[in-house]
Amino acid sequence: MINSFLKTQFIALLVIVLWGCGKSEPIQTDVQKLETIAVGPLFEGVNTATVEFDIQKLLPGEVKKDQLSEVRIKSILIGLSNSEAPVPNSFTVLLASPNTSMKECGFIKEESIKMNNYQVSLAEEQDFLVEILQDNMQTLVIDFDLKEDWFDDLTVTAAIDWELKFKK
Amino acid sequence: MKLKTLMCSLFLVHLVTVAQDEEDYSIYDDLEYADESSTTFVSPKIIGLSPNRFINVAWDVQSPYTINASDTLGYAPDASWSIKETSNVSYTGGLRLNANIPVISRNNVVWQMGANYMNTNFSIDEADPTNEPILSELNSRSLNTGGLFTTVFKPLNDKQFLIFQGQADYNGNYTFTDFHSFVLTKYSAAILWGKSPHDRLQWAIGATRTYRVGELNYVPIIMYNWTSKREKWGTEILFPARVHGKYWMNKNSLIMFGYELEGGSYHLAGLSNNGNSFELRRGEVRPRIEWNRKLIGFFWLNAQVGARINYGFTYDELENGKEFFRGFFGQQEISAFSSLGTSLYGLVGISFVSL
Amino acid sequence: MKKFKTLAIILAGIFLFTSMIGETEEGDKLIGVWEPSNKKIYLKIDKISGKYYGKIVWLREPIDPVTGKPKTDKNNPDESLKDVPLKGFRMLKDFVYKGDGEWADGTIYDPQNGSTYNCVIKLRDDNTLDIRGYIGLKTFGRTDVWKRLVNKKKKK
Repeated sequence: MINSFLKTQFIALLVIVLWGCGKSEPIQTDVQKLETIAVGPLFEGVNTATVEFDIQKLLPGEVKKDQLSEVRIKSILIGLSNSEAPVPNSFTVLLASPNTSMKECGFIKEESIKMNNYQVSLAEEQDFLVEILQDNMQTLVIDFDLKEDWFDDLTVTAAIDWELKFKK
Repeated sequence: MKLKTLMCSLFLVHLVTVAQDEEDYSIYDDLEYADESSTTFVSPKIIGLSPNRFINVAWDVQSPYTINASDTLGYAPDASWSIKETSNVSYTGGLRLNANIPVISRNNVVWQMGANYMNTNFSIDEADPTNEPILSELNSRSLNTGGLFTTVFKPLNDKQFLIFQGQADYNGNYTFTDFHSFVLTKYSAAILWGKSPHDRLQWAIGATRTYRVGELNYVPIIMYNWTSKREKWGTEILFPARVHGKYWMNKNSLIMFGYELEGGSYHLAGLSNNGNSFELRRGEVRPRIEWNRKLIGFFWLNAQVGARINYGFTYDELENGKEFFRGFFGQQEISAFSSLGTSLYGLVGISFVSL
Repeated sequence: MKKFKTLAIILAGIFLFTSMIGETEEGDKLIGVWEPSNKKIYLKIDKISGKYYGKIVWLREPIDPVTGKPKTDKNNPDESLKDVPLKGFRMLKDFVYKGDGEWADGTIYDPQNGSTYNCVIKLRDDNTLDIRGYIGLKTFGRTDVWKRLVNKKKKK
């Protein structure tokens, strides 16, 4: 009798533990492409381009963003559509959302830009991403340091490759 | 429909305003003050200074050593006093609490108030009240220091500053149910004038009234805080009270090496008679290595190891508790002498700091 | 009666909207370029998705004397971000306008030691800010005075 009671207890505990440690499943998504216009005139020095998005639109229908359990950025590629625009000295890429703190995701060094490499060097620490992506909406912020004035608008693109996992 | 138009036009006006503002702030080299410039005041900190402890809880412990005490007698040169009491001290240590809270902290003045408590327990092997009255007194009741202090940092301009420190210490082997007279409170103070030529250096000169080596003294003081260009090496000196070199292993770990003078004048209740105060003038030099390590957030660990070298362990009898100034050369009577063997010591503490 | 109701709703709507605009304009007084009292940097405060953020746009000494290169955020707790340029670095983050000339819920970052502090900003007058960085409780903090900078030549 006692044995049977203990067995039941053990199974119940096991179920609870397994439920709690539910395995995260990866989500296959396309590379997210964002585009924004930094409205000119843009003067020499630090300028900003921002774009708001909702990560939910990138997720498959059956996955809600609240279920995201692990998030990493695999890569971010920045692009400038106006070829005549002055090449910035540097880029810093940040993410923000209404109910979390803005965080640096990475940056591009002047040396990389000189070699036409607009791949963002990503931050090691990315634990903050889950919270940001679970928020109502997300804002990608790109700060770039222009070498000289540019009196037109500047179209900035970002291609973000996410590594997402969710819990059912 | 009209409402819609109104709303749209209001929104557009707002956008245009933002756009115009945006244009005004574009060329940063040509900017001017909208009204007037603020005054630049020198900062109380330099780059690479060790963490400023708001709250500190620490435990201090010493290795065993031998203590001797003379008979109570009038003034005699050190060489002539004879040992009456002697024993091994198997344990010396206690709790240290310190709080240093900013009252006003602005760029033009910083005023901090603080309190500290330090307890030293002695475990003396031979401490018979009849044969070893002094050692017995030390053994039976721990030495306590309870202090209130204030520090004012007043920048005079972008380079020069004044520092004023005042402290009131209530020292003795009192217990929390048996306090002695507050007339015996010891008052210390210091004033410094200094300069900070750049972000990595501040120096100052001044004078202090202090009980740091036991008895009352008035001494000149020199402050010299410096950090190297690479922000690794440096000094933190408030001579003669403490002299430290420092090395930042990384931003979360700091090694300091040097010495600190520590001490005070303590009222010993059991040996005080006829309204006189029998005071232990305790002063020690602590050469040491200190490791400061960030634990989490603004909480840091500090650990010290070093030697405790006796500087002075003498006894004065203050008539009706009235303090006197012997200075370095005075000939007033000393009631008794003690000598303490050198011991090793360790201290571990946790602090809530600001960098 | 129905006409009165509609008018009342429209008036209430206009009142709500204009008061919101008013609140926004009050909050937007923070937008601009500011100079801390140490006069070492200029910070530009802008508004992103309803909150206020400040980035360094000018440094009095832009070159690191040790490396001879532009200064970077060498004290960043994240090793991988130590080469982020200080010019453009967002020192002020996430400020929300609370009314009565006060912005709160934000943080201020000190590049000199890599620490992030809680922060509250008060508008002393249109061109002066009191910025208090603190740790947990406002008691454990320090207030600095920042002044507004404008491009007077351009305004003319």
